[in-house]
Amino acid sequence: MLRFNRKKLIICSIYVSFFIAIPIIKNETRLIEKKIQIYTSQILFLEKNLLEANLEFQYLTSPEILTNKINENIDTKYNNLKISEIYLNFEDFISEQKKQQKF
Amino acid sequence: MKNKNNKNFINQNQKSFFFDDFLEISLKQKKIHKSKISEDRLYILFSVFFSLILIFSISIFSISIQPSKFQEYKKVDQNSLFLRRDVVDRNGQLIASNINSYHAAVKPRLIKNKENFIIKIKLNFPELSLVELKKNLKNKKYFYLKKRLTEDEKNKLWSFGEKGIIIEPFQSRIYPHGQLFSHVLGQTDEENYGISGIEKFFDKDLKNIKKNNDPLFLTLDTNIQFLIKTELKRAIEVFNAKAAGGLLMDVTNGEVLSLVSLPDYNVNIRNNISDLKYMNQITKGVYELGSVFKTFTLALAIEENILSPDTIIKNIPSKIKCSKYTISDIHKFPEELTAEDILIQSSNIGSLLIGRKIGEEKLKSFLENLGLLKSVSFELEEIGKPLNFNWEKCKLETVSFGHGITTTPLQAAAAYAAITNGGYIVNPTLNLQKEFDLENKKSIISNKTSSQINKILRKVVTDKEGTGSFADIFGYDVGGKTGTAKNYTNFEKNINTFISIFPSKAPKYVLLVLLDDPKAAPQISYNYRGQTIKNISRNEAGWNSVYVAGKIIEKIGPILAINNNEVHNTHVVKKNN
Repeated sequence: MLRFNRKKLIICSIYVSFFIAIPIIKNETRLIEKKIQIYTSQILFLEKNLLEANLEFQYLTSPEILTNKINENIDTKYNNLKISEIYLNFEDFISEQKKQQKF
Repeated sequence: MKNKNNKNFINQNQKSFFFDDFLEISLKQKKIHKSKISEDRLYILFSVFFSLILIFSISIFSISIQPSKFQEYKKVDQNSLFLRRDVVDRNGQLIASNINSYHAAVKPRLIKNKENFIIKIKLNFPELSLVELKKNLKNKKYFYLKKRLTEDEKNKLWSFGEKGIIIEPFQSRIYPHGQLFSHVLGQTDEENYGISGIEKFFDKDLKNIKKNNDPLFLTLDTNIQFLIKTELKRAIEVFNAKAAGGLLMDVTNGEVLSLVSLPDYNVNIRNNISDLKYMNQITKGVYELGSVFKTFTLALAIEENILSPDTIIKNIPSKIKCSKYTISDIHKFPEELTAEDILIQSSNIGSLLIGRKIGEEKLKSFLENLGLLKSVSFELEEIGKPLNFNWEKCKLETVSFGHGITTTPLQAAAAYAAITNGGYIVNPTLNLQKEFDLENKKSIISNKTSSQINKILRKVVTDKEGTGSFADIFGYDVGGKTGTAKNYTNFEKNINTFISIFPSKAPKYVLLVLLDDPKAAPQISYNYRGQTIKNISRNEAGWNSVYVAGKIIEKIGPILAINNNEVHNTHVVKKNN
């Protein structure tokens, strides 16, 4: 009763396969998109935390805050290093110390 | 049909009988009828299924060509990006960033129990005006209850559970170092537009979303800025000065490492800063800087081969009458001085005589080429313009020792950089990404003249008669020139300046220290070449600005030496050897 030639059959089968495949692919894509969305929101959250932590770090380690904290909590008085007290490496420092001891 | 209907009708011609199988016929007919019905049903079913398939196909097709929701998420992400780029110092330390902040607004119509609401506000926010709140609630228009909420305030308002309270999110600029960079960074308004300082100058660039992840690098150094600010703050207290300014610049490329102007203000608190005392002393302040100009006069005279540093200027009078003015020195100098001694001892009359030898045209053009007479190009909006003046009688004479001529400290420091770096002009800059064009640099004096001037500036600090002894910090080879001038708006007040360069053999940095109206500080114990001096009642630049510059160099020197190989190799290594 229903006569299909080969061409029609191929078109029909392609159509049917697309008909089945598209929803599957779409569904998979949707799931992947959902995952991406979750990861994106997680990244955004982490980025926000990182930004806040960095901001806090920059504030807490600013010279003014550090100086105030040192003054509040540490009794040791720090002196500025003079240029003669700066050594390029540890060996220089040791040799300088030895010279001073000999002297 | 009639025959059929007549049951009694008999056909006479009929030869035989046959029997109609009515049952079968009727069945057949029924079958045919049924098949026709089922065929119709089939068609209906087919059309239903076909239309269903068609609908599904169309819907699937339309879904498949729809843009992915993921794109929408991306758009949302884009919207949540910060509206302004971060600003960092030369070492990558954050100096301006953004945070999400909140305003509290009220929709009066949504508040059912207004009296209860007012009581809650009164208890939790006693600083808010209740009269205004009641008035706004009566008006029934949307209004802001409080702007820029803290986290605690936001939580308190949430806890009210009122529908009518709207927490409006917005982005706010935050400066982790508070007051430290106030005169450089400037401020933004409520809509995140830059209204002063760097924020205004780089407004477009800071709002460029394409560069959102790349911060704007400034030439400033946070640690050095802090050290200079601390010393200047102390200087204001010790010398009871009205204001102070400090500028540290790289003489080779004009990069500004520190720019401090005191008093300053907290940029995180958005106040309208209209008081003149909050003016940027370094870039906006236009001052008569006095004797620091003598260096330019001498440099030009050497460059023009009018004299050499050793040339003896004879018969220097103690006073010179020029038009109706009498020009003299602060104390009596010998009648004969070498050209370099005139600068070392800071003789007004000596400089005046050199100025006369140069001539008005040459000196004028030299100062113009140094960029001292017009506004400087700099990455801040707050730039002062030197006052215009006519080169009338006596102008050459007064300008040659730095009086009757005004400029900004920034321009004076840039001019010193040009004089000491080998003789080429540098434009001061705050932008680290701006590259200095070494190939097209414009020379103002020769390398030879520059090195001669550097030697003389060093002597200003090391010589017995020099005015900058307190800046002779061991290891840094400091040179410089003092300037004590009267404030041209109030002649009873001094503007004391010291422009230093270090290391003077091959200058790398220029440091300018300016004190506005400093007083004598007899309480200070000055260490003068190993001797302790007390009860000094003088307030010239040598006794305050130089002293402060010395303290600053002592502190920032090690940082600069460590960060800079050139300084490090020249000084630290040699010292160890």
